[in-house]
Amino acid sequence: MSLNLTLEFSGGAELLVDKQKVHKVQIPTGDKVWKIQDLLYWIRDNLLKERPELFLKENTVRPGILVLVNDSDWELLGQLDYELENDDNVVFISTLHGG
Amino acid sequence: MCSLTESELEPELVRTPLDPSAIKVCKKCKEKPPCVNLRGSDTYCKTCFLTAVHHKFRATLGKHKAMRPGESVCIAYSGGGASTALLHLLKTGIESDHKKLLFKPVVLHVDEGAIFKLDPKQRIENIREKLDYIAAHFPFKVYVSTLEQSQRVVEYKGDGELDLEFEAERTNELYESIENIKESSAKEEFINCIRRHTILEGAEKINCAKIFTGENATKISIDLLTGVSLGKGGNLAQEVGFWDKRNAAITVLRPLRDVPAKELALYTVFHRLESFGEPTIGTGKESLFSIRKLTEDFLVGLQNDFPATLSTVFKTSDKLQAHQERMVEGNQSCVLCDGTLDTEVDQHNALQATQWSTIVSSRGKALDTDDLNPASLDFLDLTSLKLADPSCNPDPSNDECCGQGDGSCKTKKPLSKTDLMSLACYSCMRTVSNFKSMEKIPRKLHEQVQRTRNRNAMKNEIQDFLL
Repeated sequence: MSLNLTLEFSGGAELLVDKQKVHKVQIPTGDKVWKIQDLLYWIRDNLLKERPELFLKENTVRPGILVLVNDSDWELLGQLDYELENDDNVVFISTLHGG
Repeated sequence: MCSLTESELEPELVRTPLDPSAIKVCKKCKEKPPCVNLRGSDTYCKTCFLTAVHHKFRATLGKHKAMRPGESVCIAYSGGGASTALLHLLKTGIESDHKKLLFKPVVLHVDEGAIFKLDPKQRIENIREKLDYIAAHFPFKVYVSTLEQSQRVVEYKGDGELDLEFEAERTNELYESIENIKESSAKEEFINCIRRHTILEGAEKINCAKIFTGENATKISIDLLTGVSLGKGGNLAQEVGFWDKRNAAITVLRPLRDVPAKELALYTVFHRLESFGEPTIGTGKESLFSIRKLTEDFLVGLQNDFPATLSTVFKTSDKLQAHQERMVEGNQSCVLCDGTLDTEVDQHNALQATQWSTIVSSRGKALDTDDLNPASLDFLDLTSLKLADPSCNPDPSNDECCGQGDGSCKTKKPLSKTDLMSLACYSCMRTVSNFKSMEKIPRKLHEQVQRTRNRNAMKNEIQDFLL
């Protein structure tokens, strides 16, 4: 079983993942239901090319990084406990890099 | 003293995670399901949210009665999310609003590749990417300038032709002058000053008397605390207020200053706007890199747990007012940041104490000299003591000012750090004291200081003859 997800990084967060803004990924999840918490660990291990501490702090994203799932604020969906579904679109926006 | 258990005393200030099953409808229209969560527990649907951001922008402009119909305004576009959102808000305001905006925006982009000495081809590519995007999506004229050659402002006509040449000498000069600074905090402040001057010059070249910059509420709050740490004092009002009137001819306005960074970022995503974030010197660095970075980490981190943090700091910034004293005739402004020179104050203040310890420590072992012996301490006039500056040429016969006073004087007396410090405000003094060598400062700054110094010297000479 695998999950197809579209991950987008913007606002400066793309600098942490090889300057690539959109990543279409297929994650082998087995039988387990994946929560965003698991996705964060996966990103840290597979996508973050440098400085993981600029994206993750302890178990969650660094303060200043917004997470949207299917155009909805993750705070409305249970934050780290939201269960991912196939073809979900997860956006990570960094608000730290001005503009 | 604050205690770690403070949150137990004020439970309503701590952020509690939202229960997803508890929220059903948007707080405003009470019909659609919510998709954003602001300020801890206010949930809104997409339409209501986007309308609210737009309304905030219009309200800020209207509240300050900022613009008149037909005026040209220069939009400082950096490529980041906030700049793009500003352009989109303007476009909506001009085209789609019921009560249309009547002024004319003109976009100015300043390329900062010189800070990292990027390859010229790469810089052109970066610039073209941004300009093509603006030309394709927004109906405004676009101009480009660079940090190192601020006099050269080129219009971009959207056809791929970019007539921008980088002069290696100027690029190197800027790069060296930044490398010439010891501390990273001073580097950041220096770059901010240079950027501000470049944008002002660019706006002048394209005949705009007003500039819009995209500072959001979060950035303003961070700037406020950083400014306090850096000793900006009275000049802070100009840096975090809506109006920035440090330049007599051109006013800088901050129309996005009521919109928090989170709302602006969500606005950018929902309208599918592209942002082209370019790294600056602080990008990717640890939080101890500079004072500003540390403040940012502190505030944003605190905001996570206590959602009222940023709005409280922000409301404080609203209360700052600019002192009108700089209208006084003859009052100079800081050569770096154009703020009021706040170093001419009464006796017995902290600044004098700092100066005194600087003088004493710079004398080192040669402390007991003619003017600094214990017997003369009571009658010492602090302003007459000069810092022991090795680069200063003490021979007065070399100082032959031609007396023109209009900047054409070619006196060759080298610039010393003391000269520069006497023309800087308190926080810029700190930046200047970080310069390793006085040879490497940008040419324009050099000329400006020399001109002012010669003019002051001439003024002193003819002081007795002035009516």
